[in-house]
Amino acid sequence: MDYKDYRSKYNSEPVHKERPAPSNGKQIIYAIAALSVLLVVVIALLLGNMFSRPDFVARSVTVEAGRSAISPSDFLIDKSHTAEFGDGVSYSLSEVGEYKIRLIVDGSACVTKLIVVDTNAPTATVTDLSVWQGTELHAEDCVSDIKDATKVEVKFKKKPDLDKAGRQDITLILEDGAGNKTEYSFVLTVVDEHGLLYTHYVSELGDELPSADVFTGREGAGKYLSELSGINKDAAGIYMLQVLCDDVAYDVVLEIADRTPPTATVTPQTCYNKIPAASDFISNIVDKSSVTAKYETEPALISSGTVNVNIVLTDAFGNSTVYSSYFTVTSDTEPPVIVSAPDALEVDAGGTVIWRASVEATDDSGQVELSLDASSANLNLPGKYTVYIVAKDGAGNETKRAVTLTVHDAGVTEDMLWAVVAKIEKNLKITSKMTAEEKVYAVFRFVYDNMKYSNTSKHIDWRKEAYEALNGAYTGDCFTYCAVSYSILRYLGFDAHIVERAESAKIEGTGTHFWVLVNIGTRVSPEWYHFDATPQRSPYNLATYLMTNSQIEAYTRWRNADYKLENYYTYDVEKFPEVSKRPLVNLEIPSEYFGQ
Amino acid sequence: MKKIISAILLLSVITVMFASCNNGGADITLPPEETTSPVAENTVYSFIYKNTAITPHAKMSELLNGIGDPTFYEESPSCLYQGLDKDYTYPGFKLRTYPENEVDYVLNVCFTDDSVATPEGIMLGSTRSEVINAYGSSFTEQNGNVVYVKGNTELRFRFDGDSVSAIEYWAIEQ
Repeated sequence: MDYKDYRSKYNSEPVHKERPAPSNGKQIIYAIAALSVLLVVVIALLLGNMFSRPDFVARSVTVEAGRSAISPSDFLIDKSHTAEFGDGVSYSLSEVGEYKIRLIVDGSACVTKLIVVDTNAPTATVTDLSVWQGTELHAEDCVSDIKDATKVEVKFKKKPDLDKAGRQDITLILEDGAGNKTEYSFVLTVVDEHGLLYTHYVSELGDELPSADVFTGREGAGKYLSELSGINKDAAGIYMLQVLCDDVAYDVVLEIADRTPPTATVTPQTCYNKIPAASDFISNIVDKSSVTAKYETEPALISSGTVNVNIVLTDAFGNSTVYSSYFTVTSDTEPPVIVSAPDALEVDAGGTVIWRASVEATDDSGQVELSLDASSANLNLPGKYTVYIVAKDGAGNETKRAVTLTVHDAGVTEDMLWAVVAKIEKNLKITSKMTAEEKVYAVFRFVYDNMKYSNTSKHIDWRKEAYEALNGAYTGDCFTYCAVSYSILRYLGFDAHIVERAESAKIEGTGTHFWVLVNIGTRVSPEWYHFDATPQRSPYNLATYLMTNSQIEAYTRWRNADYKLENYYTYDVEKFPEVSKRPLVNLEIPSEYFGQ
Repeated sequence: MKKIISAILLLSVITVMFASCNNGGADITLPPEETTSPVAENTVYSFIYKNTAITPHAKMSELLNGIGDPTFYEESPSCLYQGLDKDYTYPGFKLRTYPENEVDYVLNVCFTDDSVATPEGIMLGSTRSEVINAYGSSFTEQNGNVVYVKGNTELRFRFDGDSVSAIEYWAIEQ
């Protein structure tokens, strides 16, 4: 069937008169071509997915040339992922350029880029120079100590005239491989056969003073016009002198300085699980000034074996010498010996134990760490306890000596307590004109503002707790805050009770809590209120100093929502006097927690 | 048919373009490498134990590897914080933590005997002048305590006569 037949069979009207429909053969070729392209696309997508880079991997990382190292994690924007370099990653941190980096991030490969740039111009040391007339001078000869991450080219900005005697201002250009340039200027003195070669000479500390020829550069050509007897060759100093050369007097500078690096005897060290100090290696130091020793690179400690180290000796003039040595870490199985220790220790309850000076121990390593294992003792609870003096060497060997520790009852009486309260009374800022409410608030502020919360109390003795806090500790938990508040309120003449959370309210995970019930009325007409100076965190940090039952119940419901049903102020109501229903303090408790 | 093939080709070209596009995050420029150890003044007070700096407000979980297990440990529900107050006893000192969003942070370090010293060499029994020589005269006196503050940390000394009777590092609540 040709084209016309085809059209007449399937279509009464031609659709595209100008474009003949392709033959079946062409259709197949088109289809194959399309499928091939599709295949290429699929492969591209697969490859693209294989090396696609997640958002937390940088598209590129740019670093300054000369950097010592770069780590795979430097390519991570989100450091919580893990990264390592893939196989075949190659780059140079001393050569400017762009490097393709294959990373394995969280186990998947991706590709990113490292860009090494050099934006820092080179630096070098350039000093004034003197040369003989007619000699040759290269730019490289005029600099020293060039510092740059890439290769540096040195050239004169304008070539010096070495045939002309006299001083010339010379500029050097230092250009690194990235095109960064630095210019240095110095004075070049071209000396003819009659002048001085140097006007500044440094003589070594302790050496005999040099002859004037060190300035002329010619034997027998110069002599000092200045008197040298005042110059101490053994002390650093700078002297302005005059030198006569070919009948001309020149001003010169003679500097006496230490330019000799220190020397010493270096002895390898043996240690037990501790890196020796660099100075331990050094003895017989020879130098004219003070010398310090340090490791060139701080060594790492190994469990046993030999560690090579370089030790740098530096004198007060900055001259240094590097010595190589090593230390050997040996295994040590001999425990220390406790030579002397007390049979017994004593401390007042709540106090600290002073024992260290009475114990002596030795070890073959020379290193003994002494400690007191008082973990079985309660330093707040009077009694006799067995504690241990522990001597431990650097290898972990230890010797224990049992010692009886007696914790004495501090014996805090109420009289002792009132004496301490009396000392801080002035800090309460209470006056006789204050109402009872104002006095109670002053106590609340004092306790709240001066105490620091820490779970240190044993909830045993309120007198002792208050005494220690007011005697300087000023720290504790709710029991301490309660004890201090209760003591001060009692001292001020208020009737008060210590209240503890009801046992029935201490459900799973809920601890206890202590606060105070205080009477601001009289014995005949009492007005009891809840008082709690224990600090709270926002939003519960309210002025909780004169609270009714209604208020503490609302407060408890409020906290229960956040603090997992801790029943903060739930107490055995029947065990205490009836609390006033008249609110005195406006506590900003959300209204929905009242009256439930 | 040609339209379909053309559409496939166009789609393919667009897809290849997208596939070959860079994806992923931003460009990064690393700061210059420090070539020498910076000698910066500490901005907080830290106690050093087993070569580990114990700084108030530090995460306790990050310290335990360095300082090891305590000789004694106790915990109790906190009256102040939401969670548990924890009390770790080590030779020579106690370390207490506070909870915050179920993470424990160092609240304080209190010396319990004279086998430990501050990094500046002060221990229980040191004199007042030794404390001032070590820490300077820029302190406040609070209820008989000599208090030095750095950043959000506090170092407190209490005296019995002229000798130090208590040394405490504290976290200052922000």
